Amino acid sequence: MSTTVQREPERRAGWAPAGRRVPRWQLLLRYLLLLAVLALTIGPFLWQLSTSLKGPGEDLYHYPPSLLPQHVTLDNYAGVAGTIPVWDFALNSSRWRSPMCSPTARARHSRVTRWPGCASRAVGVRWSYSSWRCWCRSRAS
Amino acid sequence: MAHSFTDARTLTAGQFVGGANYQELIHDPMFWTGLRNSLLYVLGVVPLLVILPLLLAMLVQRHLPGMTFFRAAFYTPVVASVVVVGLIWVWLLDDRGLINALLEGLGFGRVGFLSDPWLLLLSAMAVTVWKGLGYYMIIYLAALANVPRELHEACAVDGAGAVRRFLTVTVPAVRSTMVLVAALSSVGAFKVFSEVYLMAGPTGGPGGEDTTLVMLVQQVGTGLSGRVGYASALSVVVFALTLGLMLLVLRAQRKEDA
Repeated sequence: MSTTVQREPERRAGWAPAGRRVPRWQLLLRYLLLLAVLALTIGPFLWQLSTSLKGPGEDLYHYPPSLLPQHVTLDNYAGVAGTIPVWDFALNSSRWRSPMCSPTARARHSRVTRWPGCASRAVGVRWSYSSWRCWCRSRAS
Repeated sequence: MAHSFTDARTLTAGQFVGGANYQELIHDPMFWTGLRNSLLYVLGVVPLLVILPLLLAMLVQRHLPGMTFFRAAFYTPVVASVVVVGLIWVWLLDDRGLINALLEGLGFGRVGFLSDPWLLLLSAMAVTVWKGLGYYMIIYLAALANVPRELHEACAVDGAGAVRRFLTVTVPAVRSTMVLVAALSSVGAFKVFSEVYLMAGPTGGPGGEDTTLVMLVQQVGTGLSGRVGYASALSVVVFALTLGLMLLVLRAQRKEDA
């Protein structure tokens, strides 16, 4: 091992004893630990991905479960759009166009705020926030 | 807070009832179950979230090939939605899920991660720790970058090994960060809701044994006949306890500094 070589990347962060290279077994141990943690952190996501590609008859509770799908299919992804209004949900999540911006929703909102007493407060607060955002946007444009 | 002194429900305005809500709370066994679970959650999660991310940060601190990839990968659970990761772990830990299949394959019996009340709480803690690791790792990475190299060098010249250097240089240098992490994670753990709600279901596991305080607030205070007054009283108590916990952590630090 050369005593003069100090690799530039190692100077930037972390610390190795000056002028000494890290022993190989330490490096190996470090990477083994890293891989173990890696399996823990992204393993569940890979399992999710694998499950999402599984065909009929080998669903989640098929026992014993197989790591990789036997019959690879994209039907599940196509099924999502057919089962739930997923694009509406996506719009809601992205908040660009709140569903409260539609005229019917606004009408419903004004009816709610006319309810007397506690009910209008309990229900109205949540609804009026999104319509308030609507109002702000319409004022701004 | 004003609601907590009334008997308000979702659809009716409340009458002032004084401290009756708080009195009922003390005699409510569910309140004590919730308090026990929330405190257990803090005791289980916080030490792990203070120590493990520090070790992880030291693991990825060096600039070695592939380190950026590892850092990003360790951070993915933080970015993912808690509902999504909660459901993934429910599948994995299910009686017929992957982990139990592995255990059975290795010759151990199946473990009822999601049917035994205590194991369920432990599983939820594991998910919380798993999800928090990356976040606190980043905080620790920032702190580690500020540890002066000279200290490490001097320490090594004096003949200290890696463990000794960790205890005498690294830990004191990042101690204020450890307190920050402890404060953040204890407050988060005390107010835990999503993980337990997803894994134990809305009723809080078998016989409601795994209900946490915030879940109790949600159970009591929602729905058409939700008891807003009582739920408000519960919330006030949760808030006070969280504040107390925070002060406790900060006090512990000041005592160490003095």
